[in-house]
Amino acid sequence: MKSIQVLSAGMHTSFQDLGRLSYAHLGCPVAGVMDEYHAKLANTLVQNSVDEAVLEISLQGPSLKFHHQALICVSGLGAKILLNEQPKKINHAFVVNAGEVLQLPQVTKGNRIYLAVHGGFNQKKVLGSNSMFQPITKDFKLNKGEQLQLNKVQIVFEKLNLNAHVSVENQHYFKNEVEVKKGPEFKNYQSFIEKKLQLTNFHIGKNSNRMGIELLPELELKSNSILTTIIQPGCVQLTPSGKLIVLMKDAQVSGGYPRVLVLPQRSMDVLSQKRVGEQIKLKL
Amino acid sequence: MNKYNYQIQDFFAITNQVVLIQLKNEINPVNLQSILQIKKIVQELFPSSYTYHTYAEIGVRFAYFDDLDEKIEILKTKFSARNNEEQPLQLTSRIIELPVCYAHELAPDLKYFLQQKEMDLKEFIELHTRPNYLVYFIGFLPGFLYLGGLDQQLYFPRKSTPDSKIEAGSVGIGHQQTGIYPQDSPGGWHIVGKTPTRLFDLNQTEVTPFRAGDYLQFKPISLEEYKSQVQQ
Repeated sequence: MKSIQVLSAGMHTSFQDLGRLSYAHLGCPVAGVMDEYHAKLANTLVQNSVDEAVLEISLQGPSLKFHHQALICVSGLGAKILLNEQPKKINHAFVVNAGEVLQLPQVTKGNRIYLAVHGGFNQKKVLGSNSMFQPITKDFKLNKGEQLQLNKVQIVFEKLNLNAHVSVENQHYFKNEVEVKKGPEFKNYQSFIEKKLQLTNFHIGKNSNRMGIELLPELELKSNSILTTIIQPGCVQLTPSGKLIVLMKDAQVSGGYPRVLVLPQRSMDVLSQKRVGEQIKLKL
Repeated sequence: MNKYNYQIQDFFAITNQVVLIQLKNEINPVNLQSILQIKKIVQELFPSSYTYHTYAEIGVRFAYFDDLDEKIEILKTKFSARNNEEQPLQLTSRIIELPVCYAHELAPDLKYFLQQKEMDLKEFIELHTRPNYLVYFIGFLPGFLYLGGLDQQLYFPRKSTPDSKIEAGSVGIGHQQTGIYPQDSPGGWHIVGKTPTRLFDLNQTEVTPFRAGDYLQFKPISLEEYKSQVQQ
């Protein structure tokens, strides 16, 4: 019998790690966790290395039946976590016993939470990564009824000391200011962009996903297409209609719109947790 | 007043791990030759770095803890026009054939394309298969080749409304480019043919048969040949 049975898969639950970093020359997106801070936190709290694959869970999470004992952690800004219907704390490691059911019915703050298991999931890497992305991986999310295998671990669960203090530093996620940097084509739009960033309260558009997050309203500026250039997650494109799109982890590796701004990873982490309609200011 | 070798215009730290080396903003084989030469030099200079490129940019990824300002200084010195001479440039001159079937059954837009161009099929196949197309880089989708060399007589606008699904292997023409869709995907190019060869196949040692600097030549095949070669 495998370690975990997926009783229900949730809205969008996928394996992610820190991404497929060295395959852009084949046209493969980086993929990987949207919120690196919380994914790394979950891994750290169960004593994994930070690049171990975790489950990235969006808004409504899965129900998972454990057939083996495991040390796990759910991280994020806020979520309902039930183990055999008993509430558990977010950003805390705890032990799940064989036969118990973990339910993650709702992400209450932010968009995504992360589930890490001590020792990691026994998943086959494709092009150096466990991050799900079609067609590089067969699936792009978990399916109901699937069985997941955990790696064998050596820890003695009865002797675990889980009370070690880890300080969770995610207060900045609750501010509406997001730090941005100048992108390669910033200089062509400098005075306009600077003024707009000061004056505009942006909000997250509904066409936002793992590929990109749209910031509305559109700016009164028509950009021109440019020669296809390199895209990195974090690049902010100005589209011909004047929309700012922050390219996220599943974005294409090349694109033809000016990259006026770039978000550092810390800002991408924060933005990935902002819900549709939430307001933000971009601070240069 | 040439500040750097190999048409390098500037260096730009786009993230805390990736430096862009920016060349003259052009699509031409000389740029590609420069890019391949620069990549080679960068790989020798920083063996653990990872490089990839587009028409006129090279991305160099460094380790998480590297100081990019320091790396940029090293790159600037290395490529300074005062410090060294440019090495002679060479492209790998592999020519790789790609079979394409130009049958209407597989090419939903071929009829319309020929009508609009007032061209017959034979003439079209001749124009499309004659050039050696230069592979500039792979981007957009896994395995998608950016090809240069389309005959001007075949330039044709993209569709105003993109199709929601174009089948893997479809060969299209959009604006001044021709290319092959490596996976089923939405797309706005007119589809004029189809190849039975997979352009992105994780079961092969070489995930894609092409690399930047190669030449691609379309080889016309019949519908029967297509059917016998298509990989299920």
